[in-house]
Amino acid sequence: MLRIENLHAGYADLEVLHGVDLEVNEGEIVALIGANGAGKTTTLRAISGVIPVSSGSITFEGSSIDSWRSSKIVAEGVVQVPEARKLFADMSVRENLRLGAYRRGRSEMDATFDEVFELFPRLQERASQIAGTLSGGEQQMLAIGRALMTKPRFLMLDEPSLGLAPKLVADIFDVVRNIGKNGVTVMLVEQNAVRALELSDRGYVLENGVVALHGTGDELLGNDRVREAYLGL
Amino acid sequence: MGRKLTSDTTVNETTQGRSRAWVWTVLAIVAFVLGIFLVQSGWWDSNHSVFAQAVVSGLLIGGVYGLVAMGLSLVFGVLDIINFAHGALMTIGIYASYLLFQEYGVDPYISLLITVPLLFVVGMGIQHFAINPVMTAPVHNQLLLTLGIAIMIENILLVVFTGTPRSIELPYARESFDLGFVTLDFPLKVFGAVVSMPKLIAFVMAIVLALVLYVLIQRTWLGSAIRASAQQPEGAELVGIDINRIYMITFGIGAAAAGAAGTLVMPFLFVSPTAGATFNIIAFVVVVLGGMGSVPGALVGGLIIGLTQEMSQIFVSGSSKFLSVFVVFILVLLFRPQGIFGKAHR
Ligand SMILES: Nc1ncnc2c1ncn2[C@@H]1O[C@H](COP(=O)(O)OP(=O)(O)OP(=O)(O)O)[C@@H](O)[C@H]1O
Ligand SMILES: [Mg+2]
Repeated sequence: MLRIENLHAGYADLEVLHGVDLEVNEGEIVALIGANGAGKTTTLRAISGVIPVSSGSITFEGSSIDSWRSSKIVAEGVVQVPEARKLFADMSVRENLRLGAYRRGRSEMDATFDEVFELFPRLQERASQIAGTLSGGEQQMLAIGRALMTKPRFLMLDEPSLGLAPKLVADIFDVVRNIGKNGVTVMLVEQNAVRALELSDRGYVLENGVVALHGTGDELLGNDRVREAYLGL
Repeated sequence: MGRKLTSDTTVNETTQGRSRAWVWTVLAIVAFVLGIFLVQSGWWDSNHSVFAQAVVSGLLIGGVYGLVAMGLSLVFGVLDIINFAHGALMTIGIYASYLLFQEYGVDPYISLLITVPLLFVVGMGIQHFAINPVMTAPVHNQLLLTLGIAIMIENILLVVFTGTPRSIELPYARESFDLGFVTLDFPLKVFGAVVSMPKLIAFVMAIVLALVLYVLIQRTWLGSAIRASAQQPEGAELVGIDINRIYMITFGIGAAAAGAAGTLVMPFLFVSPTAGATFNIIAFVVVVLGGMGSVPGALVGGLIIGLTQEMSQIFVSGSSKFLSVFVVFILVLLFRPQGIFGKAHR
């Protein structure tokens, strides 16, 4: 579904990704793990078209999307829940969600609203609250909910468990699993590597801007190098 | 820790609230004493019509300032660009309606139907071709660019129309209008103040357009996308908003507001290539006063600056109209730097 080949990208005169190769098949959940600063977020931003690609290619279902505008990429169903959430902080929960459906127009919006509220009843209770005043966990729910409002076919989540209490972390992982079951292909960036790999079909380990290792979730969980460097075992 | 944070903010807010209350109290006392003094000294009896004239003129022109400033504030709030070409865009509106009136006899208020879309397109073009390439450039480069655009527009107008000031006479400016319940006999007399028809129309239309703009931004789908792009550009991109398109539309709307204001003031102004420049300077003060990026703040700020400008003429006769405006500007920066409607940056 998504294929990245020899991707180089970065910021101004700093190259962060030095030739990343990875592939995600339809229906999979794929984990992307790696140390802080390895380039995980940068990879997702390059896929979303938020930062330019300097060389290499990103293809989604056969079309080369690496020079597309971000709005067109979202329209194609390639969506991310960004690391810093990037919510519209001065707007209500409802308006944030509505903007998620920006490209689809109002007619189809209501059904998706129901789906999101079913997944996160808390958001329904807080529908009129200003997003900036939500708790961290609620903000994460809203960020995921907003992304779901776009009706993604390929959803990338950048550290969705960041800063959440253990109970909520478990809930969020359940939500990710459910999103996958509902037919959405998922790429999950996580520091919580054990959980992420357990949940995923396959995983990639990013080190200093290149893929150092990849394999099925179980393979990586059993790999000594991974256990030592990322799982702390 | 959460508790500590909350209590800190509360303390912060109450101290701020107290210092603000203190400033208002002092101002109220000063105004009261001044009022007593003026009435006692007989100044009021001999000057109240001058006073009424200043209030009326100030409010009328203040509405126009509000409209001009709204466009400027919108562009600043969304694109983070301080647009020095805003006044020049207004001048294009002035000349467009002037030409339409002189050459084709188009009523200035009807010509809004042409000048507003014209400036919208011009604004979109400027954003797309000139400003977009420098969106991420340092602020001073952006300033130089918009200033350059302003100078270019002014000089093109100068070449085409020369610097000779022109003016028009609205054919129906001195007629009476029977509204059924009341007859309006222009120029109107209100509490001893004279209200000319073009100024009244400019005020009313400016307020209407300002409200339309406000509703557009606050209540429509497009407005929602514009506000989203202002608050969180990357978040907006990630929900599929074409942010460059939003920037073009926003700049177009800003330019259209300037064009509309230009058309509205044309009938009572000397038309010249720098006619809009004065409004640009005042609009900057209004935007800072109302709160950078706040659209309703721009309207309220416009009315306040209009009033200030006219009222100061009574007390300090012969002074430049700008003097008092800049005094207010400095006071605002001292006491409420975020403006009336702006949010404090903490
Ligand atoms: N906007 C930016 N401008 C300049 N450099 C940046 C920017 N964002 C990230 N970087 C740099 O790029 C490198 C990779 O960052 P990235 O955010 O992709 O890492 P990451 O793998 O997501 O790390 P983490 O697990 O901490 O989120 C880092 O060295 C970072 O300092
Ligand atoms: Mg990251």
